[in-house]
Amino acid sequence: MYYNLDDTICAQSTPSGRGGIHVIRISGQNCLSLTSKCFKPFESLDSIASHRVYYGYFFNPTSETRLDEVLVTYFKQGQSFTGEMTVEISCHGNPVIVKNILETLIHLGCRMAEKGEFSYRAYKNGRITAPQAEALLSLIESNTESKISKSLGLISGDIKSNLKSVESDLIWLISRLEAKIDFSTEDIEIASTEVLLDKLNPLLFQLKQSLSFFKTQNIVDKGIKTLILGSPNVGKSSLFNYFVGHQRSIVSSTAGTTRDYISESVNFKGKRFEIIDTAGIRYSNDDVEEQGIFKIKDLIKIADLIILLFSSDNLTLEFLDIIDSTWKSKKIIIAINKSDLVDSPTKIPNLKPGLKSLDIDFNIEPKFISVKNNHGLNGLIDNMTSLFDLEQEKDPLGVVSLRQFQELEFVLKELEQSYEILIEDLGDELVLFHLNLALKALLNISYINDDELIRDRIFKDFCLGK
Amino acid sequence: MMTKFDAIVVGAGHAGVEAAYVVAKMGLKVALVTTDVSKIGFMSCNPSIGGLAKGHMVRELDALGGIMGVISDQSTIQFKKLNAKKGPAVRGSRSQCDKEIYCDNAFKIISAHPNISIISSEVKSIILDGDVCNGVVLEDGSLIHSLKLILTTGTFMNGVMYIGRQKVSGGRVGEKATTGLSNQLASFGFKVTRLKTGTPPRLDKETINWDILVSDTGDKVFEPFSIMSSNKMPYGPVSCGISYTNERTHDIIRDNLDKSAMYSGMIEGVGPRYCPSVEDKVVRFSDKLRHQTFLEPEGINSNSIYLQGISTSLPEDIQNQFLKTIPGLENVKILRPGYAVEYDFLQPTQIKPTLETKYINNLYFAGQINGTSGYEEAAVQGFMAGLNAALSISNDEPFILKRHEAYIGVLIDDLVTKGTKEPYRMMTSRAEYRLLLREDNVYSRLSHHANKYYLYNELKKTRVSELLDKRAKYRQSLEDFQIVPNAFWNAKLEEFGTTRLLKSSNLSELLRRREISPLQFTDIEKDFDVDEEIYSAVAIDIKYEGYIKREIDSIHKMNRLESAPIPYNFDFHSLLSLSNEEREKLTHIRPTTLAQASRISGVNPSAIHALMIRLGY
Repeated sequence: MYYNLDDTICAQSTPSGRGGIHVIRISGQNCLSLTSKCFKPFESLDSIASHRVYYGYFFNPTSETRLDEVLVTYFKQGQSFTGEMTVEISCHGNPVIVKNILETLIHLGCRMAEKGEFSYRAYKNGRITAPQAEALLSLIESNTESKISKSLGLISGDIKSNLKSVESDLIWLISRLEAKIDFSTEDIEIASTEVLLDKLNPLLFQLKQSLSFFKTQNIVDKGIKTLILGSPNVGKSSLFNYFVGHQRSIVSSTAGTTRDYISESVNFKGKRFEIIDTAGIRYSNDDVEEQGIFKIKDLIKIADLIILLFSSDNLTLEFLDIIDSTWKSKKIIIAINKSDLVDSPTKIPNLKPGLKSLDIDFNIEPKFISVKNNHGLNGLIDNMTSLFDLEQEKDPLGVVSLRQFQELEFVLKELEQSYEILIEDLGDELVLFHLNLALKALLNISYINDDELIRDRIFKDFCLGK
Repeated sequence: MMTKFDAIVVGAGHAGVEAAYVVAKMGLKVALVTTDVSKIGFMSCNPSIGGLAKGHMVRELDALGGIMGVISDQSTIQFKKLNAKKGPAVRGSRSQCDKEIYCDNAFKIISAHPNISIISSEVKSIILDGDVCNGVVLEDGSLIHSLKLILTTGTFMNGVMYIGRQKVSGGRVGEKATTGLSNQLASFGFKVTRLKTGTPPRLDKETINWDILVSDTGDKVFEPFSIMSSNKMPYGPVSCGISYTNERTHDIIRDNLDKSAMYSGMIEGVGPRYCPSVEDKVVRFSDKLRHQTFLEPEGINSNSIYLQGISTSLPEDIQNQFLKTIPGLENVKILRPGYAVEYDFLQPTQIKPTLETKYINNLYFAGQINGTSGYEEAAVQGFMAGLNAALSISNDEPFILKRHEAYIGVLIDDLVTKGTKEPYRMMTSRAEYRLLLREDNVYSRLSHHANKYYLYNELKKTRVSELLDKRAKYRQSLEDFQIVPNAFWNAKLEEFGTTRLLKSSNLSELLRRREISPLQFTDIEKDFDVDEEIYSAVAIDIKYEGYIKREIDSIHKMNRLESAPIPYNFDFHSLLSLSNEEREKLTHIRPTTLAQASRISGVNPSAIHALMIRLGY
């Protein structure tokens, strides 16, 4: 909490939960340029008038997917609640939508507002008097906080108690290393690097699991972007048509205008998949076709799931160069079409060694399908849905809010760095630099501010003294 | 005798000495009142100055113009750089000193200053005019008046010593306690509580079997605390012995716990967790089969050995019994048994960051009276109290060090913001800007303050500015030295055990690599052949650069709150949007800046916003 007035801040300004509409407020000098990146009619900034309501779609600029149909009001500087340039987005009253919009804004450079920060800015800019601001703050304290925590009930209780165990492991780690520095002249045995790593590893694992759960949940909420990739004539379009035809209700159909691809939204087992057919793009090395490759790379960037399609008479990969490290964060299915052309699937050579050489461990058995004979397709769909089955994923920490997610991502980043330094033995004081930042961020989730935790632990565990 | 001074300092321990000296340096007349003139700057417990985080503070004090560093350097009998194999930020210097020589040197410096009058007496009470203090009453009933009063009473206020069931009034062996003062302070509204500390037995050197003990004479290289001191250690080095307790020792201690002052419930004060008695160690860590102890000579010609690690309040005969089970001590003779001391202190949340009290104007506290432990912690507070008293006399702005400037800033901010439950000792883990607060860069961190108040003499001023100039030039020459990725340099780099260059770089950038040291380049460019005190600080700055940049970023973010003062009489209860807990905590601590308020545990961001609004920030 640094109260930096230069930041552009955002937050939901209606009470949380489900309702008719929710309002998200963005305040600060960058609010308009930020909004123009994710709200359709705002592409040209000059023509936007203050105090007018604009209708349009809020979308994710990376994936270009629509998040909601919204109304946006722009308030110019000096004529808003905070007195700063402000944008208010009215979206549908669904917490998931609100979360997605806030996430997009943060990704574009917004900061989540601290408690009472809008009121503070309003006061700061002379929009409200000090007594009015204080009255608002007391409202924030008594209503929002207690109501939110009550409405979240068990959930917020859960995250706190789960975080407690991460917290106590982190305190354990820090206290070992701090004791090593501050009490190095004492005759005490302090955990070896191996023991420290044994403690750190499960922490990293838990955090990764929880953050990945949160991300998967987001992917599922937004629709799973599924890319069918493969050499020409392996049956990409047939598979696409099968998926689309298989579905009675087509949610939307977008013919790519600026890009040469077609996407369709379909529902499998209650999950929405946005299937993207790359059939229109050829993978040759011709100059003219180069652009196509770039488009494929753009599509890969936004994809959540990639179906790598081969056919039993063509097991080659003509487009090896598109496989790079970005694939590591994707779910991948390898499917071999036209299984009817071979006698027995066992004769099909294993593709994995070839892919492994790219240092991407797909760790997936190829699925044998025949679109023509409707063989193995149900299994493929099962496979697709199970990859995004939240019941299969664990969320050991129970991350509930974007704020927690933001803090925990920071915690993970710092822990990963401390891990590297520990392994390379670059110095305990540097390991501690990162561990202490991680602990501070973790404690900040529950607004705890107590720096005696470490020393309490040191004196509890070690016999020290002169 | 003069009866009117600018300031009176009560107590001539490490806090009192620094306080009196800095007031005198500021050109003001000061009376230093002590019950025993022979014990000025006395090291009443362990025979060392410095240590981890403490060595940092002694160097900081020297950079500000204090005297502890010089006194210690002139009395050193053994030197050790602790954590020498760890990162440069956490290395700490420790000098073992001859206690008698230390006292003599302290007395020489203090008595030589024309502005200091040493008064041998006990202070009975404080003279008060409303809520302003203006002098003291001595034991013979005479009055001395002053504009400022600095109390540095150590363990003497209602001090009680315990050896087994024996209970003797006193602050140190053979010295009487001060009574009356803390009752008077309590009557002014101060909350007075008890703390406890202990000291180990002193042993007769001649009765120890040194031949069977492992010995340690410290480092070969002496790095004095002060830039004014010679690199040659004045005495020694003496050698210390190392031995261990065993289960027989522990059995005797366990069998006699009921005779220990601390275990029989006689003591109510809280002792330091980092300095437990041997009784505590045996009981709390019963699975530990042996405890280490260092046998440290208290002086170059002294017969007295300090038994570090074995502080105890068991009766003398039991001490005698268990000591004889320790290898090397089979025939030992005790010169003075260990004992526990219990004394009054005032919770430091009752003082301001200037160390002036919140309830009585012109009254300052420094040292153990504020709940700290340690010579170094006391000395820096004495200095800060003295300097602030002097600045206040001339109506100048107070001098408050921030947490990112010095360990001294961390110490005082911790005390006044959080208070303390046990005797407070500095540790490197308390400093959030640890990589910035190093021993090697004290002069660049703090000399500008000393220069502002003219606290250096001409010689010191020249030496410090030369050192900083040389370092700056050296840094510049590293940055100017271009290295291109040609065959010559790449061969050199491979020889140094690092990877080749892909594009041109300078030496300063190259030094970020772990394998590279400026010394490797001295035969290529003789300008790089400089003293260690020049290159090491520069090299450390470069190696830590990325981290320090992150520390500085967070300092900048915090600065807006650091420079937002809260008026002293601000009524936190008038802020209705705050929770009761927040209002009570803020009212008690009375933070002086928004940053300090944000460090109080349990104070939420919305409370800080409310404060900013009310105060018009």
